[in-house]
Amino acid sequence: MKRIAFAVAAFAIAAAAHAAPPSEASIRELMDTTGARANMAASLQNLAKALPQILRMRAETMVRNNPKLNEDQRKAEMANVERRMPIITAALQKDMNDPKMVDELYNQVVPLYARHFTQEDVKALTAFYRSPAGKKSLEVMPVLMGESAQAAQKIMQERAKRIVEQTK
Amino acid sequence: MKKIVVALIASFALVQGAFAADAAPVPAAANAAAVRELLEAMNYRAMWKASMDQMAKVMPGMMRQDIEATIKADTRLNDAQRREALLNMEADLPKMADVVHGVLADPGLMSEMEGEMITLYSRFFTADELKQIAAYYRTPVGTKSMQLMPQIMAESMAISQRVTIPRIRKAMEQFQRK
Repeated sequence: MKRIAFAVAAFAIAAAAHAAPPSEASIRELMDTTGARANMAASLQNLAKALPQILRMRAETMVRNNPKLNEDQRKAEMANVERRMPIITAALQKDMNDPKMVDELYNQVVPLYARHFTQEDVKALTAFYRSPAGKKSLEVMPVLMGESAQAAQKIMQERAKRIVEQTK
Repeated sequence: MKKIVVALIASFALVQGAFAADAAPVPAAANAAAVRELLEAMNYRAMWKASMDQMAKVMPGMMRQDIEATIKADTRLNDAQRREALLNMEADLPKMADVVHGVLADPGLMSEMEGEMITLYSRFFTADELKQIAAYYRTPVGTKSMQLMPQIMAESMAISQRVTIPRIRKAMEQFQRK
């Protein structure tokens, strides 16, 4: 009986060791390997660029659709939006360029990886992304994803058009 | 109304800017086989089908929203006409959803997309690199990371929203005050 209990315990320990949660250092190493910091900074930059346009459009639509304004008031409000744009653009730029923001993101992504991957997984992932093929796929992936989304869009648009023409 | 369907399908892929119109070189036969192998290792068909199913599921709701907004904003309609237009839209919606579903579930669409992927991957990778990446996706960790990808993407998206939205809100408040 004791022997069985021992065997069970040993097995449990082995299984636990196999599924050991990854250390924070190893996750950070993986993230450094995949260039996560640069990617995060870049996407924050994109956000900082896109947001003012979106806000401007929204503000302009609000002014245009406001039935209480007459033509002069509308013009004045539009000018007002225009005048305030540089302020918000600068504020967003400053926020999104803040290195603390990237740190914050980084710190929150670490537990995400820890939740999904074992120590062994993290090691294998790091090894792949350090190999030439892994490095190259990291480099190429953003372009590839963008272009494949474009291709998908184009194909679907053509098909949708064809169907609409058929059902006319 | 059908125009809206086309626009929605097109916008769903969420791509800005015009299509790159560069003529893609015809891939070498060796590469086509290597890309197919990679796509298979990535379980591409299943992923494609899952994302098309997802799209077919959310499209009717998006179409309703869009058309509703158009009808409500149409100043030429009086209240009775508006009500009638909305009822008509409700009646037409299942038919439109069928059309969308037909477009998305068509196996021809998937093979057309596969052809695009072959051209695309061949432009970026050699056959040898494709083989190595396919081999990685066949390892346990490669398979696992591929399976987890949608979930990890969604979780990272949630994290970045959690971090960025309070700051964006603050900047907007500033904007409105001045």
